Amino acid sequence: MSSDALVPVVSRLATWLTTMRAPDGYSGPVAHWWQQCLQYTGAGIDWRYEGIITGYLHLYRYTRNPHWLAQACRAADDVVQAQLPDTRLPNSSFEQNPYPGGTPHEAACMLALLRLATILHQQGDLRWQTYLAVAGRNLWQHQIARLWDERARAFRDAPDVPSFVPNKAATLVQALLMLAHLTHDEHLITHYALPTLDVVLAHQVQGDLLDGAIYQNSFGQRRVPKFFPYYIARCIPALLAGYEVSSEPRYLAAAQRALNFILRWRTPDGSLPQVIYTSGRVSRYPCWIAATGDIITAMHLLQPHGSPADPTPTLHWLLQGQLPSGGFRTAHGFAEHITQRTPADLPEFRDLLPVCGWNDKAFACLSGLLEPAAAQHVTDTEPLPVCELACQFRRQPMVYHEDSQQIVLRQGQQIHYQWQKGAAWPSVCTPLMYLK
Amino acid sequence: MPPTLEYHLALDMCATATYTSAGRLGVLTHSTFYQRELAPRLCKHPAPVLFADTAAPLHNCTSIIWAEPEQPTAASLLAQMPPRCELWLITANPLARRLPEWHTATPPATAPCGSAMLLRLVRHAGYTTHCYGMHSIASIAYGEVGRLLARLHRHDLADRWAARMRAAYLVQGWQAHLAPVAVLHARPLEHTP
Repeated sequence: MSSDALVPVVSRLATWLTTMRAPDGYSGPVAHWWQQCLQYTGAGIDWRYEGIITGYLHLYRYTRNPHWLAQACRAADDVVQAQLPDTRLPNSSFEQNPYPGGTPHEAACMLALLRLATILHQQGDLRWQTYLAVAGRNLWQHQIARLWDERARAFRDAPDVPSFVPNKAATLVQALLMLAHLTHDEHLITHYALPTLDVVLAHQVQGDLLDGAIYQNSFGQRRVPKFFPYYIARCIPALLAGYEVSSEPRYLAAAQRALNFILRWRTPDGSLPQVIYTSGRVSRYPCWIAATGDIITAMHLLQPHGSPADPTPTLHWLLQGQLPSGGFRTAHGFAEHITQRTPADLPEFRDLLPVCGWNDKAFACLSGLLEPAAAQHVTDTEPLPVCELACQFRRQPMVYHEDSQQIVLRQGQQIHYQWQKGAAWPSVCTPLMYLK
Repeated sequence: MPPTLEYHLALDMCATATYTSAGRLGVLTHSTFYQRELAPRLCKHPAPVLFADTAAPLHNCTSIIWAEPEQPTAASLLAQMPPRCELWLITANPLARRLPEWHTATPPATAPCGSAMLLRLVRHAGYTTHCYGMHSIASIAYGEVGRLLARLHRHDLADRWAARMRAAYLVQGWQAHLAPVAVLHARPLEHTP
């Protein structure tokens, strides 16, 4: 895939992102493996900001076009203005919204603010101090003060439960390493970040069919025997960052083994199964589409370290998922979440539904793949056609409609779901849509 | 922390249903649990929202979320509802007692009516009703099967049953009375289209 061919793809996606803005941030329903959030549709101050801000920063770095920096700052200002007095973020729980304190969502937002602060600092733009201050408050007063478990030497997923989720802790480690870099605070690295990465390593399977896989989570000593390739990919950037600050080869080796595990389970079409279990059994569906941006990013991060991974099949899998409306489909096979049979041709509503908190992964990945010369041609003012696609929901044939103003699901003349973009709640949501 | 899915869904349903309602929205509750949960959900409603713990201040509301009617006062408060006002009532059924919300210092209610009693009261007061239950008997059973399968180390099947449980979460009609939490939608009879 040439960089020039990515220009219209990124332009459509950047334009679609602008249609998803509410006055206080990027909005929209959420489809997820764990839970659906089709009712609360207002701005979510969650991990969508990691990819959105990172994507804008890629475009700015390649083009020096101040528009992209302004877009990054506008997104960052959503986070700044949303911060609660206790330093948490409202509506930061993504599929569980509207609730604050979402993990790894707040850490992901802070990572994005710190990436922006780093670039502004390099340019002598004093706004970097604001973003650093907001991130520092959340990371110190919420993440470290409430989630750090001194006995386990790692971050918990919830203050009152001895729980550990490697991919979430990894995102937090990335943010802490960036904070350490900006504030020259070595203690953040030695006391919090690297010990947490060592616990991630302790969750990695050694040998056998699952070599390199990382357990999804643990409660105390009990590990939950599930392995999500997507979440394992999200551990890789932190492991590499840990390697870069410490020069400890175990972090690099762990990242490479994690990616090797992912590649072993990749199918020829470039997709990844949703979950692999210790027995080798698989729950394939729903297969992520937009989110595979993070997997491709992990592959690219490891290339300078000698990884032979070819991201091309997964890139093709991602690119075939762009809707005419510019957003990327969430998944393939939501309708078979329960049965795990091969999905029918007709996609499920949630397969099609483009979600800001998944599309940001595609945006960060694809904008990062552009050559600087090609990036000059990216815009966020592409004309987007109305999107009308046949789909199904609860085994009933329906029509998915999206334009710059709304997303609608209808069955004949009956509207089952209608969301005016930017609105905090859908204007139509029939009982059929109440699945969690 | 988000509440249990039962309450999460009930609260989301009330927020969604009233989002586009014309006129003033009232919230009748004296429960700190509901105040805490509903305030952030309703803060972006286009119409003005008024919280009250008695019916009197809500006289000019066109929609009211009532969370939740208590046995000793439900009938008298219902009689004080403004005419032509649409009601969204959240009520706990006996199975709600097993939810963590009921094992705190400030449970959602002290003597909840339950959906069956509330349905009779509301119909008697001249409303047409529609009842929704959160976490049906079927979804409770699916959830238990999933937990059993997890204990048997069949996490793959457990995950599928968890998905089945979530897909069957909302029920309507008589099954709602068996669900831990119910939402009643009540419209004044003479204004029902």
